[in-house]
Parts: sequence; structure tokens; C-alpha cells
Amino acid sequence: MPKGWRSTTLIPVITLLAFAVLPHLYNNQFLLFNMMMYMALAQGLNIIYGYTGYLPFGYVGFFGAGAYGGALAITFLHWSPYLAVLAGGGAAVLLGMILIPLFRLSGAYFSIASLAAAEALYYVVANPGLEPLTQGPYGISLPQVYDPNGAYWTMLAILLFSLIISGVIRRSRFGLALSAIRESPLSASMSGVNVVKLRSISWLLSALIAGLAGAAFGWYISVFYPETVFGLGIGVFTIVFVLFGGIGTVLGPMIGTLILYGVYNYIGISTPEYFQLAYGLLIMILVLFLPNGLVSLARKRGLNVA
Amino acid sequence: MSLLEYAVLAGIFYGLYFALVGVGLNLIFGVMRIINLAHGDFLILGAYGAFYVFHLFGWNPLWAIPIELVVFFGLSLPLYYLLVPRLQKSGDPEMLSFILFFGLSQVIEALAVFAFGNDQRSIPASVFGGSPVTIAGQVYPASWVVSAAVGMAGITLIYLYLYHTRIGRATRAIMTERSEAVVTGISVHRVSAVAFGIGIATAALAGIFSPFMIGAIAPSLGMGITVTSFTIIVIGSLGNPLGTVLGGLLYGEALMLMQTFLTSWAEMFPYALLILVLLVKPTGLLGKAVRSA
Amino acid sequence: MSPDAPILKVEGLKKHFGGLKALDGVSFDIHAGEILGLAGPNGSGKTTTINAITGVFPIDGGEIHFGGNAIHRLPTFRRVRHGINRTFQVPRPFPALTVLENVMVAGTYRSERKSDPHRILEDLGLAEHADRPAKSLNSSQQKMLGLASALATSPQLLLVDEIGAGLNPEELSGMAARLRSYAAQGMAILVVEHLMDFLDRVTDRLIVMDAGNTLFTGKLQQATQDPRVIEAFLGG
Repeated sequence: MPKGWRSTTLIPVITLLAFAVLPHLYNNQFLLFNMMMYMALAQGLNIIYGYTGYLPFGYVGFFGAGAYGGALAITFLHWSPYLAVLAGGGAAVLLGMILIPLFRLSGAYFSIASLAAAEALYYVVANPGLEPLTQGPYGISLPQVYDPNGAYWTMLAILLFSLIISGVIRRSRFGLALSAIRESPLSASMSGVNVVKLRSISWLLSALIAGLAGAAFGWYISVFYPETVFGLGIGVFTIVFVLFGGIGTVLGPMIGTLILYGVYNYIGISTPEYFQLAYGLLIMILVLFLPNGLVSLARKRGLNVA
Repeated sequence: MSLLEYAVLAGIFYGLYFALVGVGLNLIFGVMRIINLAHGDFLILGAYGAFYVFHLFGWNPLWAIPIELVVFFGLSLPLYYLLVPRLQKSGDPEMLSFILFFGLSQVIEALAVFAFGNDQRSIPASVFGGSPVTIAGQVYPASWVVSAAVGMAGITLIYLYLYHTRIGRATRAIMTERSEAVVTGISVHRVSAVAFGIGIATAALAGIFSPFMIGAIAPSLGMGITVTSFTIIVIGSLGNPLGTVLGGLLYGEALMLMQTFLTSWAEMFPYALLILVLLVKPTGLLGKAVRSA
Repeated sequence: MSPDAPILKVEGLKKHFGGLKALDGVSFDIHAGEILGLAGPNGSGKTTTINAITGVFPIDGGEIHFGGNAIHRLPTFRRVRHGINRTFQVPRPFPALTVLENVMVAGTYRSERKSDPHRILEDLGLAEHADRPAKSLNSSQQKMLGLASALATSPQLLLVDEIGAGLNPEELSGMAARLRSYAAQGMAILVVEHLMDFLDRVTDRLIVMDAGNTLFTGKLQQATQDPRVIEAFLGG
């Protein structure tokens, strides 16, 4: 097996073993669940930001769309939660398709527009006028399917799925073409790359992962409000985790999430403003001194990083 | 008179004020091509300044204007030299500025919670005299009229700066063609630092009036205000500080009409408007057509 | 399509930027195996012609036929997959990708005419740099990389934009021989160039442009005696 592919296989296998065993050693299942969720989101964001360079600041919009898509499938269509998670992924993909025109924008315009789209969707879902459909600001409640263990294993499956997708992209010609788009869209099309199509595919994959994760999250907590699943914090956490670990790699976002989300649970929940301060400073230091993340340190020492 | 007339006139007051809210963000983007995502947080800090001037000293919040202009301008200069030159050496300053200034906004919010607490603060609207102002048969709070007047004054001063001073002309040269400005011997960092200071000082200036125009003050409101400011300057066109006036007026009008006639959808309106403008005319209403690769 | 039909046929090409007419009805054709030179003063529309043929921007009038098909409405990547490619005056590699990866991106998309990235790098003297990031190459190496990327799509028509600039005499001779050998294998080549000596060495025919129009088409030796050409280059 070529060297690159070995680590591509190793990461999902280790992840699977870790999250299958950990619930027996550590009793805070919700923390483990959230850890997996942020790892999956980090991989999903990495597919669009790390490989093509487009940073959707409103990435959480897909997460929220997934949570509500899944909840509506359970409430109105009486689907099983497993199917509803897929429906959540579908809802996010649909939203992604609607937002494809945003790619006419570049750089910061794209980021801000995606943020505005997520906020607009939040206010639509939270609108009291839509109470018959979304319960508006009063939130969703899914007692009939409450099953944290089922949701836990589903999230693990989503995480593995995201790792495999991300790993395959990194090692394939598809990933190479995406990197080419990030470096120079004009030169990429001059190399015969269908820039619009490839970018759309990675955008929809990225949306799918966030949608699946959102739906599984909604199922796990089973009572939530619009601000729970559309909170900008979720998307921003994800961006920082990816950036901290290193964009454009499979391992970077995993390590970034592991360390930062771990730290968050240590100091962030008891004293949120200290965490916010530390977190803000960390982001600034990262951008100024380590824009390529932790894995770039390893790479400087000559290590091959997946 | 009619509700419509009321809303249209109110929109003009709001529009002039919102032009001031956005102009600093636009000036900084125009000159440095960086996005100050902490813009709204500086505005909130300005609001706290007015709050303490009023509640600690019992002064009229208008006294906060000279104090804050000096303080915020003075503090922005070291901040500029600390952050911007290093950022511009990186591979993708525009994108990374987005994240860097998000970090700064988190720091400001956290420090604001330490300093001012999480409670919402407000200043009674009666500080500008209790009696409302009657214009064209419609009655408006005096605070709206004062805010609009300060907004107009602020924009006028920025116009005079850009078009009638030496350093202002250099600023416009950098906005149009950065690489050529460097060649002609303009000290880009000095000019940019001043523009950075003006951008942040005007945000704080707008903040003094936010308790009357935007609502109660709280540390966490910064991000929402940044997005609103972004909407305004994108409508007017990014990188063109004076286009902000048009953006502010259109935004003010649309907001007032929404709040009057479609109240429950007014909150999502700025976001929907932003997306619409970006998709129809990404360069803004006053923007020049740019060739995309 | 008859065997002696031109592979590229450009008719009445028009492009304006605002009020400036960059191309004002340009027509010419190229046959397989032919090297056509394109000369003219700065701003006469040479690079704009290459951009129009490769679809960097939409044209405002005229038609472009390649291998018998109208291609002027196709996006760039489709034209590339049909068999057109170009080099840039200022090379535009993918800076963070390695030299080999740069060429591999381009090698993916023409299934009927697979190219071998390693062999291309070998031919152009870049093999020893294959694993270096493209941004670490010097400017003449970057020019060669640009040519390598273009060749990796196995073009039947190659548009070369000022590839001679900055090369030393030895490299220039090598480049001339190289272009000649590609043409001998049937590739059609359009050479935009300022260096008259280089044009003289490689081209079969020459077009001289001025202000978006074609002034002259024919042999180089005749061009240098044509009063309109002399006017365009020396008058102005």
C-alpha cells in the first residue's frame, strides 16, 4: 500500500476504535458525542475551505438545516430517526444547491454572503409565522424517538464517513484538481478542470456532512431551539478547529478539535468569558504566527502528514 | 398623516445614521483590503463610553464625542502596527483578516464582559430634551434627529478629509491602485494607519448613538452590527466610502418600511437584502464593473 | 472536414473593454503542423486574441472554429479538452503544488490522448525538480513548467505568449527547435512574440496586428518591407 493511503486508512480505524471503547471508560457520553460531531464538521468544512479556499462563515446553516430537516421528517412523516438523519443530510444538500450562485462571489464576499444566508434561514425557521411547521421560536421536541445510544453510534458512522470522504479526496485526482482550483481557478480551467462542477460537488459534500451531523445532534438532544442549532458559535468553533490543526489535511482538523474542544470543556463551560478571551487571543496568534496550523510544525520537521 | 410618510421620513433619519455606522468598515476595507470583523464591537465600546459619561458624570452623551474620537483614534494606531503589517505579508490577507479580526472581536467581547458585565444597558432618550421634533406634520424623537445630524456631519468630515487634504488624496491613491501608490513614494503604512484610526473612531462615534437607534447595549451585540454594516457598505459598494451614504439610506428606508408593514420579517431582512444585492450586483450599486477571471 | 482545411479558423473577432476596441474584426486561420507568428506593438491585441481563443472572457462578435466545431461559446475547460492550450506571458503555475502535481492536474482530462507527466518533465529539463513546489522555481523554469502543463493536455493547437522573453540565446535556440519539432509532429502553433529574430527562426507565416486589426499576413521578409507595418512599429 502506498505510504499516503496507509495513513488514510489508519485515521478512520483508530477513530472507530477510540470512540467505540471510550464510552466504557468515560461516562460523559454527551462530551464524546460533541467531540465526534465537531470532528465531522471539521472534516466537512475542510472539504470546501481546505481544498478549494472558499470559507463559508455561515457553515452552521447546513447544520441547522439538517437538524430541522431531520426533526420535520420525524414529526410529520413519522420516519425512523435513522432515515430522518439522511433526510437532514438531504435538506442541507438542497440548501447547498440553492446557495451555489454564491460562488460567483470571491473571497470575503462569499464568506459574508454565506453568513447572511445562515442568519436569514435562522430567522425564517424562528419566525412565529411558521409555527405550524417549525414551531417557530418555541423549538422542537422529539420525545418519541429519544435514544442517545442510537444517536451516538449514528454520529460515529457520520464521522467515519466524513473521514473516508476527506481521505479519498486528499489522495485522489479529484483532490488534486480541487487544490488547483484553490491556487488559481484560471490556470485550473486551462488544465481542463471543470471548475464550476468540481467546486459544486465539494460544496454539496461539505453541506451533506454538516446536515447529517445536525440531524444526529437534533436526535441526540431531542429538545432544541432555533438558536441551539443555528448558533454562529458552532460554525466558528469548527473554523478555528480546522485552522488550528491545519487546513487541507485529514489529521489536522482531528487534532485541532481534540485539543481545542478538550480545552473548551476544561475551562469553557465553567468560565465562558475566560475561554472567550483565551480563544480570541489564540485565533489572533494563530493567524499571525501559524497560519498553516499545527501540522505545518510537524511538516517542518520532515514528517509526512496525512 | 399617513403611516407611509412617517416610515419614509424615519428611514431618512435612520439612513443618515446607518451611513455613519458603516463608513468606518468601508474605509478600512477600501484602503487595506482587510475586513474588520470587530467593527461592531468597537461600536459597542463606543456605546459603553456614552453610557458611562452619562451615568457616572451625569454629562450629556454628546460630551463623549470628542473624548471617544481622541481615545479610539489614539488606541487604533498601535493596534494597526501590531496587526496589519504582519497580516499583509501573509499569503491571503483578505481571508485571514476575516479570521484575525474575528479573534479580536472575541477578545473585545470577553473584556467587555469583565469590565461592564452581561447586563443590558441603556441611556434614556430624554437626554436630548424631552420634547419630540415635528417635521412635515410627523413627530419624531429628538434623539433620531440628533443621530442623523451627527451621521451627516461625520460623513461630511470624511469627505473633506479624502478630497481636500494631502493625506486624504494619498489615501484615495492607495484605494485606487495600491502598487502604484507605493512606487510614487506614498508612505502606505502611515496613510493606512490613519485610515484605520479614522475607521475605528467613527465606529465608536456611531456607537454613542446606538442606544437610541439600535437598542440596549450588551457585549454580545457586536457581530450582528458588523453584519448590518456589511450589508450597508455592500449595497453602496465595497471600498467606496461615500457609496456608504447611498447604502445607509436604502437600508434605513427598507428597514423602516419593513418594521412598519411587515414586522415579523424585519429581523431577517438585512440578511436577505445582503444576499440579494450580492447576487444581482456583487460590486454594489455604485461599483464599477470588474472583470472576473 | 477535408484534410487541408485549417484546424483553427477565426472570423471577425471582436472584443471591447469599455470604450477600448481591443479586437476589431480579426480573422485568420492555422493549419495542422503550421507555426503562425503574431506580432505587433504593445496593446495591438495579441494577448487578447489568445485570451479570446482560450475563452478567458466572452467575445463580443465573430466566430472561432476549431477542428470544424464552433467553440466560441464553450467554457475554457471544454476548449482545452477539445485540444487547445496556451502558455501565459507571466507564468501562472499552482504555486503550492509540486512541479509534478502541476503537470498531473493537466494530464487528467484528455482520455483519448493520455500524456505522461514524467516524460514531459524529462523533455523540458524539469525532471530533477519534480517534487519541489512550483513557487520555488526561477522564472525561466516557471516558463518551462507553463509549457509542460500545456503539453500535458496533448494540444493540437498551442498558443505561446511571449515565451522567448527572458530566455538566454542558448535557451532561445532550444525553444525554437522544440516548437519546430512539435509542429513536425502535426501540432499547430501560434507564437506571439516581440523578438523578430525568434519569429524569423520558427514561423512559417506572420500576422502583424495594430489597434485590434490585422495589418498584414504573409512571409516575415515581406512584412519588414510593408509600409503599413513599418508605420505601425516606427510611426505611432
